[in-house]
Amino acid sequence: MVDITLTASSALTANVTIGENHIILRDDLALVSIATPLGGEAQLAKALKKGWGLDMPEARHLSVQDEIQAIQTAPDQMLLVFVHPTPDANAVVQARLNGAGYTTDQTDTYVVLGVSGPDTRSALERICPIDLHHDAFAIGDVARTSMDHLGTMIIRTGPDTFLMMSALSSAQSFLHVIETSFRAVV
Amino acid sequence: MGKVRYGLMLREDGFCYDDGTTARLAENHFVMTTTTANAAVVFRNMEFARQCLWPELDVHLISITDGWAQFAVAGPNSRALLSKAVDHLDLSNEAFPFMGCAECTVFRGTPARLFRISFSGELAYELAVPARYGDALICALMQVGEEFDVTPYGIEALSVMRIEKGHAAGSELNGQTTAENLGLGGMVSKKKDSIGSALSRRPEMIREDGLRLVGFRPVDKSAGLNAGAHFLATGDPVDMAHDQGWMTSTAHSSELGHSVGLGFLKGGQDRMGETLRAYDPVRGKDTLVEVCSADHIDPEGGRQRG
Repeated sequence: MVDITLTASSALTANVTIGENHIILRDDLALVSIATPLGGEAQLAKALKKGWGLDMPEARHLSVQDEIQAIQTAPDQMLLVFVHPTPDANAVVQARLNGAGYTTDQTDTYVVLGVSGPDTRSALERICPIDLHHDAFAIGDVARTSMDHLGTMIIRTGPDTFLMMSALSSAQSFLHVIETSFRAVV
Repeated sequence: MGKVRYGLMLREDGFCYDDGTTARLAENHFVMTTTTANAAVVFRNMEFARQCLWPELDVHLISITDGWAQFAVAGPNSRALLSKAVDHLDLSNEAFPFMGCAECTVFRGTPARLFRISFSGELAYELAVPARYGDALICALMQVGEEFDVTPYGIEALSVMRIEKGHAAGSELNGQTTAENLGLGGMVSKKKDSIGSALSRRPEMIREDGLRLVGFRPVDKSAGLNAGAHFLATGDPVDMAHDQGWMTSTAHSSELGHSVGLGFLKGGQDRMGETLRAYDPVRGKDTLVEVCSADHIDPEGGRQRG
């Protein structure tokens, strides 16, 4: 066997600071989708509670426990988001669910950016069609929307902090859209 | 399990709108590929089928297109090259035959999926790794492939090879053709129901003298062929009443040393060896062509099955 091992590379190479605002690549996060088996809602809810202390996520709102988050992505589907450095997140989730859900590793499907700073909402509202005012989109709220023309899942994690996911294949364009909007308002 | 099947997607009206492969990785775990342009349409239609047509089925779909970097490794040395990359998997023809698939690891432990499928018609595989390892994988494959004179090949080369092999692509599978037109009528089972199967059996759709995908080569081997040319019998007047079909795809075959074409011809399956005019008024060309099998090269499929 040839003495070569493969090293993971990131979709983006640099984090960005604009004024007091930051755009950070969150490639430390693993994403695992869980689909609910037909008629298996109660069993999955029990497994989530036992495995991570998580409640089943409700539409448009995070379920959070310690460092793990669950997002409802469809009526019978959710996404677990958690820090996990190695490419075995799917196996880890499967082991804890013990057959109560159907899992798919989505870590490499999305680029995940954390954005923060006092100008964040002003920057995002220029490119995002939904109302991001805290009265309409509170901490813990989730939405599937778009940034400019790019499909995006957005989570409000604090007064001026958001976690955003978009397709990995257009990661550079996604960063460009957000960075450009920040530069327009700072 | 461990097998891949090539499949067609039919609309309710019985016409084909896409093709792709379905790999069975585990008892209840399948990975389906579609054409690039139709991925969203196929996904949408399958979601409609599972949610609205058959909600009693315990089936879930999720897109993994962005999640995997997948490379075709094609050519007579592809098995030898991959044997240097894939860990602990017997790649012999007996253990991992044509249309096989497996979850495996490559280069000392990176998770991967290997599919023995071939759009090029050559002995070929497609190797997928999580997208974050895509750049590292292609660099590693090029490195271990040096001793085999490995070289990257692009869409143009792939397009030439698929025309040489008679594989349908967007010019043939354009949403206006049927499985019968494509010479793939046997893929639509008559023993079970499937979306589009009932209307695909309408008399006009299965008539023996209907359009069939066949191959064409120039009688004068130095002549080039062009897609868009229409077929006329020699001596027939040039009008739509005598139109017998059209050329869909052409390429210069370096292996054969002349142009090759694919096209739809009325009753084409029974007209091998016939000479026709490929009439192309747009380009001002009128070329004599011979009808032949769409499999210009390796019609027995020995390369991809070897």
